[in-house]
Amino acid sequence: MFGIGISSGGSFTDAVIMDLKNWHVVSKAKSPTTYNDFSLGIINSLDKVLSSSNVRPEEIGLVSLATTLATNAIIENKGGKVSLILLGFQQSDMLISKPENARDLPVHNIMSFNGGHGPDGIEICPLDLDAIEDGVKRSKDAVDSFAVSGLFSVRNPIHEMTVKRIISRHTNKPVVCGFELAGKLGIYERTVTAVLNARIMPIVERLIMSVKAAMSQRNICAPLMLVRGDGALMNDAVAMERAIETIQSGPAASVIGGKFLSSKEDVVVMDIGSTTTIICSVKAGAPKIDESGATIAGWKTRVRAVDADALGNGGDSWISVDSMGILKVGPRRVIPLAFASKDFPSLKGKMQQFETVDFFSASKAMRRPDAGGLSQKLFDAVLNLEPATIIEIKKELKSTPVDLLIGMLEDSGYMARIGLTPTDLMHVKGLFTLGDVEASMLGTGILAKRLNITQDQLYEKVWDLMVQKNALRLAELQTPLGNMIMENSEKPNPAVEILDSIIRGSLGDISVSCSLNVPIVGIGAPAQFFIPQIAERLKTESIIPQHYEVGAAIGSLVGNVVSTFDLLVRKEVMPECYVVFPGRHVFSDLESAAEFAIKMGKEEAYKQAEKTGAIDIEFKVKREDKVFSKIGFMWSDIRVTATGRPALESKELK
Amino acid sequence: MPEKTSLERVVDALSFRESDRVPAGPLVCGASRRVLGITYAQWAKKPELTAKSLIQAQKLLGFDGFLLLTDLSVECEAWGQKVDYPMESTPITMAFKGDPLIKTVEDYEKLEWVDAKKATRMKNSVQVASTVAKEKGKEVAIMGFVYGPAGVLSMMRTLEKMSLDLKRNPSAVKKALKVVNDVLLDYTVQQIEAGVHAIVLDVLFASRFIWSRPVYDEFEGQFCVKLSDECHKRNVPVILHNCGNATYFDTMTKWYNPLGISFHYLPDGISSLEELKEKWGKKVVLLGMMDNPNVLYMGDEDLVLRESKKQIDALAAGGGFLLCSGCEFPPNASLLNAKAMVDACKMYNPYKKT
Amino acid sequence: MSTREDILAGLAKAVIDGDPDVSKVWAQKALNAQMDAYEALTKGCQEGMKVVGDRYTAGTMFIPEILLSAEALYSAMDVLRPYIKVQSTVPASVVIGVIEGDVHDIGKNIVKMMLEASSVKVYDLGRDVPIEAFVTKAKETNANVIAMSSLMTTTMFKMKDVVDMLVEQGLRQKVKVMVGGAPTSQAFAQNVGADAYAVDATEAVKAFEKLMKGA
Repeated sequence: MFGIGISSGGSFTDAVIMDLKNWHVVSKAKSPTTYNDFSLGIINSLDKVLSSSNVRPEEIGLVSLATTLATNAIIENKGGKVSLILLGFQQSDMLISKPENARDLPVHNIMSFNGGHGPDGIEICPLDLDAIEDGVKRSKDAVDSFAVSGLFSVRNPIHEMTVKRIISRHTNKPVVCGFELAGKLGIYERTVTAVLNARIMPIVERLIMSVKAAMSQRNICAPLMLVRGDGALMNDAVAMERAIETIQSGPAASVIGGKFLSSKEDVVVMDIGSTTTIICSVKAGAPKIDESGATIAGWKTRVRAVDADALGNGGDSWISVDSMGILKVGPRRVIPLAFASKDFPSLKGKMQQFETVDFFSASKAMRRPDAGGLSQKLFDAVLNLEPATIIEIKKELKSTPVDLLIGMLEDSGYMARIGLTPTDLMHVKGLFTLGDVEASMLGTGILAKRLNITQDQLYEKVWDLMVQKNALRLAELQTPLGNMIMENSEKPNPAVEILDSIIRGSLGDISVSCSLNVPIVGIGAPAQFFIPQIAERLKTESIIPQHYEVGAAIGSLVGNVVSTFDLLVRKEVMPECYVVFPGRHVFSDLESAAEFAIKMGKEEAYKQAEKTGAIDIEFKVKREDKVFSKIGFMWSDIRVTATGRPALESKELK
Repeated sequence: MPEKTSLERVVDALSFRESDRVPAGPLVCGASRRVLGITYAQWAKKPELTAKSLIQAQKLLGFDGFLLLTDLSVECEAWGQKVDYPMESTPITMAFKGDPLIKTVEDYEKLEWVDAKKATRMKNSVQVASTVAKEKGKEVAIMGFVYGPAGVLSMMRTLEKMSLDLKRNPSAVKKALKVVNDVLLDYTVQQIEAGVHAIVLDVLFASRFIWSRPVYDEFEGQFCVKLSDECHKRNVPVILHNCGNATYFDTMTKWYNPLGISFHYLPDGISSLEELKEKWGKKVVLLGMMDNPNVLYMGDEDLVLRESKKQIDALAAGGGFLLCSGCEFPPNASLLNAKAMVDACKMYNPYKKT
Repeated sequence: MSTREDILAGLAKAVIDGDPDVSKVWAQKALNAQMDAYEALTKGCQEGMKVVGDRYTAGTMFIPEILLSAEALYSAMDVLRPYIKVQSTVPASVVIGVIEGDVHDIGKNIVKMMLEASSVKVYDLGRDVPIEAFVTKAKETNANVIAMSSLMTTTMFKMKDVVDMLVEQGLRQKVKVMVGGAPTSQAFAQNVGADAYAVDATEAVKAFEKLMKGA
């Protein structure tokens, strides 16, 4: 039996067919990602990979998909209308809890009701059932779905469950509860998770329906699975319910794929894409997971996802010359000339006219700002049809502080920058052909001329900077520095500067050297051009495995179905007892409590894993007792993980 | 040789004799309610239940002495101070929750003598003493309990207010202290007559972190001494209790000439168990000093055993030592920890001649 | 006419002696001499309170004396307060209280006094404070720190609840937590997830300042 793995990334959608018995790659294909409708690109790649092999559709037992659809929908703020119901927590409380700079919640309306629990899982205030019923009746026709979030619902979910029941008495619209998606403290993050999930459910559902229809037209009746942000798989039914868990799906598939292809347990995986570069470490066979939850488009969620870094220099890093005449690569990301020129045929003409490679354009995906005023004017007059140079914008806006306005419009995603990028240089060198090669050549010429060097010299210099920057970023991540460096932080950081010098081999008059103690696995099409050089600077082995260029597609197929359930056993006094959460199950001694917690955890994790499409389920129980000399036992965190293989099915099996 | 009774063992210890082993006094009071299975409020309000709980707890745990303490709000209630009885916590004077009987300095003067025999809570305590003495008085040591006059007065005013008052209006405070002390004297006598073997006087304020020595002398010592005198006159041993930090052993012995002192922390000026034994071990019987929060409450049996051994090693030689909790056994701590103290005394026996 | 030094020393001494009448007179003298009220408070009264704190720790001053010092401090503050220009130097605010189930608040009151003497804005919730009240007050006042104490072993576990509550409501990054009281310890503070522990009032002020510097 065979499986098809598909990964739709920034520019390409990759597909592989693998023999599920020996995990050999039978066939692979690449086709462009189609932003307006992801399913088109996915189906194209499906057809392409099928036609390039002898595998018959009837032999396909599993189709698995990693997609940035959910991520994109959230970034572009798309989705259904959500009614948010808060229990024991006010809208004003949400504002206080909201981290600075976080975006507002994308909800249609918010209703707050009495209810919620304390840290001990005891009800603070009973639910006002009548008021809730009224509220639901009033808003049910105006929205597409409901999100319900209660204070300390991770300790006791009964209020959220009750409200869910009330809602489903009045409408069939989906209801998402905070505790269903997140087992950790933090009502704000759980609420964000529930709301975003409720919002993007219809979008993910549409994709799944299209892909499933296409599969059945092609006589494939295998289960469809989606890759979760932590790299595990879930079947279509669960993915529709837990759409939010597909964020970070792409990076997760990359890491899992890189790890799988390297056959090593401890590595750093680096996926150099035509747009972004992803770095994630793997320890003891497991990718590094951000347990506190992934942040997406400024929203902090409680979705467990791979802790993949996307700050390295990638194909879309901006190549620029600063006011001192020094060549820089990144950290800003721009649309490569090669791709922009395909959307805007006039670009090449303008490049020649203004002798520049830097342009601004209205963002493809986003709406227009509706505020009126200057930004409106800018869009109407300058950016309406084609990209504009800074000179044109200044001319139009005259005395306005242009830089400030541009910054604001860029930050809010209305406006995008176009510029020369490493992707363009790869086009020039013939390593890439998808975009407009002419535009890339033109741009390279313009910048080389400005720097008074040859195009080859420019290429060498950019290459050196790319390799060094990525080596440095990778090194940062393997030290405590990694977490301290924020995106777009323009301030020079002395620690990073020292690390940079160390990698280069000298610190003033002192020769230094550092070496990474794990190999780097490179995947993604440009990997072979960069990874060996990066590994050389960090004095470690580089692994460019066979099929590296479709590593993410492989990663989307080789994952397991995993379900985790978190519990807490807490000692209480007055009277002394041990209480298991979620719920509030009271025991007189610790061991009975822990035994019950593990049993409950196994039941819940098993149920969820089975529902998610797993067979051959095995458990892993992690129990961490917090016991201290003098203080004694205080609490115990228990995590039960149920892991299984995806259940396969094909026409032939039937 | 048959095993000694608890009473004999305690008498040995109080007489500075090495007995068959060190006596164990975990001072199980409110915690005993859990043996009988009643709430704290029931335990504190119903003398027959209080007595029954204490007796059952002794049977269960095998400790060598009863401490007949219900809580520190027993005495103040006689003057009409409101007391709160939480279901599962120690009863507490409402003075600490913003409702003191003595609201102004003038109110001190209004305090009058009351009949201890008619005050519900004191009357109940005497009944407990009498029941326990009747049932267990021949085998187990029974210690009555009286909160000192300054302590009782503070339960009707709060310590801070009273501390300021005694600087500004010493005579009013003293007048009230005299009234309170007179009633406490009656209460002491009633407990003795009910059959307790010794009286424990709680003199909490003789501590470096509360009052200075002269203030203590002036505002408790000179009154409270009448209670100890009465005990001495009746040949009833006086034991002092002070669970404060850096307590004044010198001041306390000067006033009350106690047979023993029960304490939680090392006294003022003493820095080790060894120094304590050397300086005070011959003058007073030491009752202590298991750490309530860190060992008895938070610790497990292992820790209790280890701590007990440490103290027995340092303090037991030559008698004159009872292994006691530093204060009332934590009412919600594991009873196994109280048991572990008794076990420790059986296991680590420095008096056993081989 | 008293010199600036005389006035500051006078204020400090009045606070140490615990004489509210005298401290009021010195505070008035400071105003009459056109002294900066904030300076009079920090360099006069606060210096006095520091001595009081040290003496309590050393066992040469006791509760009655300390309470008198506090009254002297407050009576001087009452005179000076209207003339203190709203200072950006007023560094921070703290919500303080004795945790639910416990009514022993002398230690808490001393910490409160010492913090107030260091120009910290203190919101005192008193004693027997329900865990929600700490969090609600911190939200309402935008306080930087929650300081809680417990003298009874039975109530210590509630401190963890306060920390959990802050985490649940997304306030843990904004609000620091300090714990104190006889049964607590550095280890206990760490284990319940508090940022600081202080053994006494003088240490509490130091710990508070350290927390604010770290923030």
